[in-house]
Amino acid sequence: MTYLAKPTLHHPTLAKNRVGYTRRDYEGKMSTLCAGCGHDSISAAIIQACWELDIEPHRVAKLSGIGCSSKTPDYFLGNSHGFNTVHGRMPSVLTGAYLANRELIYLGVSGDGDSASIGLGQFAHLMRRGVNMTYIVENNGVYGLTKGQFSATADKGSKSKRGQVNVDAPIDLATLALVMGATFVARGFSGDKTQLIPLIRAALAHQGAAVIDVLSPCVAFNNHTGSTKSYDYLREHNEAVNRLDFWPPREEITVEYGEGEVTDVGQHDGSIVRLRKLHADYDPGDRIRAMSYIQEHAACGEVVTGLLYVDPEACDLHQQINTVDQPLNALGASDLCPGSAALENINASLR
Amino acid sequence: MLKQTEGSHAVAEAVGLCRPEVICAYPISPQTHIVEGLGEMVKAGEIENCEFINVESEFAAMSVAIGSSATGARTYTATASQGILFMAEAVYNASGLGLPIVMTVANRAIGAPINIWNDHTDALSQRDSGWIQLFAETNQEALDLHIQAFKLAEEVSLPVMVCMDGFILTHAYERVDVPTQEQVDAFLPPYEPRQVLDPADPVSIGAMVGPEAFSEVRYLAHAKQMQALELIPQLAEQFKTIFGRDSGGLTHSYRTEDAETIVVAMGSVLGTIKDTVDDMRAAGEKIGVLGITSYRPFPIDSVRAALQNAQRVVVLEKSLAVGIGGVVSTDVRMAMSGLQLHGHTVVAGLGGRAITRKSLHALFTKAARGELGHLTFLDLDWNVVNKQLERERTTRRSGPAAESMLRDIGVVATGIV
Repeated sequence: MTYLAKPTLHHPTLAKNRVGYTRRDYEGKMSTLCAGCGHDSISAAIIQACWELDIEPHRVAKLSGIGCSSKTPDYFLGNSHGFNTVHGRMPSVLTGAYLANRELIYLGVSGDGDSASIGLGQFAHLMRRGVNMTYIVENNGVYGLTKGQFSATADKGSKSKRGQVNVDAPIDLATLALVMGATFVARGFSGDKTQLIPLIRAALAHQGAAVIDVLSPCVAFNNHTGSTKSYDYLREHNEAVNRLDFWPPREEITVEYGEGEVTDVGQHDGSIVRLRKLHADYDPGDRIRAMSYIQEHAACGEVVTGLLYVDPEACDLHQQINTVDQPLNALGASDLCPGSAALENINASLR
Repeated sequence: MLKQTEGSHAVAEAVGLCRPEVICAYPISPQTHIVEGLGEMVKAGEIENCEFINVESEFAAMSVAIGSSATGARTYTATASQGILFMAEAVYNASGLGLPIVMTVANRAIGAPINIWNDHTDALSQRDSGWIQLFAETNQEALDLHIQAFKLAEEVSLPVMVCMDGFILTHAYERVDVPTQEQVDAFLPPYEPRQVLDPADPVSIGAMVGPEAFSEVRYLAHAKQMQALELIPQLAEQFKTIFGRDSGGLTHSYRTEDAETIVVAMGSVLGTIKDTVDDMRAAGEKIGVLGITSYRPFPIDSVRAALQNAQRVVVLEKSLAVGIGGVVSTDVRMAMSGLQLHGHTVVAGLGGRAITRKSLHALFTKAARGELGHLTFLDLDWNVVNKQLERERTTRRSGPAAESMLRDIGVVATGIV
């Protein structure tokens, strides 16, 4: 809650996207997070990605749990549907909403406390069910809202602000998402928007469970020497395996590429993800290799970022359970009750 | 030793002096400072032979507590609000197994709508769980009740919840008398568990009990709470001889001698009520206060004895039993059954709304004049409520209620003059 209201006036020269909205139309309330918080950069990236993708705000449902990360949906997409669920239960509430209405674009925003501690079970089961959504984890390695305790993603040996050393093994949510069957897995850094925005655009277009683990330093409690989630550490140890460009189906690819290997990955909806390889030996189509690659680099203290895995043939929950195309919440009584004649036929077939 | 310290830290020091062997917790406001303080004390070696476990959720916190208590370790945890709801299954488990765990509940409202501020709905949601529930009025009492809680828990082999108002007590800096280790050791003997993890004498815990004995096991839990009813005043007496302070007990009366009106309440609001009663007494009003310290077991006889000479009873509670009104007042009315008294329930301070002397003065005056209804919501903004009810009457798709009501109120700062 903030006492400062954003002015609703828009400058007449603001650029509009194809559906007639300015970038400001995708903004939310004034952020109450600490100045310099990585989460605010992620909110800005989401705003930019949705504006660029010409998504009408009312087609997006943004859901979150509890924590600093889960407060952020108040600060972007102020004209979209919002649901602030209880701690760690965002994936379950989102699964329910997605089952009932498959037409919305689902964006789940969570943190490392919400997803790796209290809601780990929910995180894992959403991935294995293949719910068509974009799951953004704003990962800072600490519980910011309760003043900086280590979270389950804090690296072993990482130091707290007051010098305590973390003794527990970390949970790598990108690796876990790969193990659990997510069909789009990426890792970003809130300090690198040129990498993050295309990742969000591609994830939103992906038809399946798409996870982006975004490392997002906590300036108040985890941005010091000895932390492995600080701006300095992440800038120094960021190993981007690829650079991504993303084009929605209708857009012509106009960018000229120089030297370097380029791979195009087509998606279901006709969109194109173009990858410029930064690590020659990295193949984002190989789930097993992705896992070992992440772990090998983590062992040297490096943080692998970029599009880590994508399955262009992904199938989602509705396909798996073979539901009708029409959203279930829009089915009328005649669809749901075929009448006594139909029942009679079924009964007759069993006699 | 007298100290100017935060309520949470005072409790952390008291728990540390009780020589706990396992502390497990998951941070949740407004409880976090307590376990943070204990974490630091364990790390610095100030609490000997103690393990601090940073768990991944409240459900895990209570489950770890059950495991450690069952193996014979003195165990402590703390939580609040959604945390206690999330651990609810394990809360019942701990009491069903008769494990003497001590848990602080830094009382906070339950969502939705999400709210971090104080009321008693979290602890009271677990009133039938089989845990003993003690409510502290001041930071000193919160500190003292924790020391008594370990002894009480271990004597009757039941878990004890010490409830203290979130923020109002947990985050308030006040003068408290922190006892010495010698004093606490003299009061609280080393824990002698009813069972220990001993390979030479293995036991099974968690058996399935069918209709043949389930009622008997449950009755035993009730019988133990009745034992606690006897024991709580005795422990308060023992505590007084060692520490020199009146703390704990079942109930506390204040200026009830010839009172026609008695206000019943729990927790820190008793301070404001007593101040208001002093003002009204000075103006000649015959009014007094009954504070309930032990909510479970509920001291029916003690409450009845305190109220029987009054003409009317006002139960002011920071909780709401949706669909009937009061939670505490239901119990108080049971204690009053047969007495010809006027009973009033006042729901106040939900989600941290301030309970002011001004409002209380007006409320008690109304009660004394016989003008108070059976159920009152103190300082309820009827404009906001009626506007929403009207919206729901006229529009089927009236949208989410809380968000609509917030929009009606507008930016909070504009309402502050």
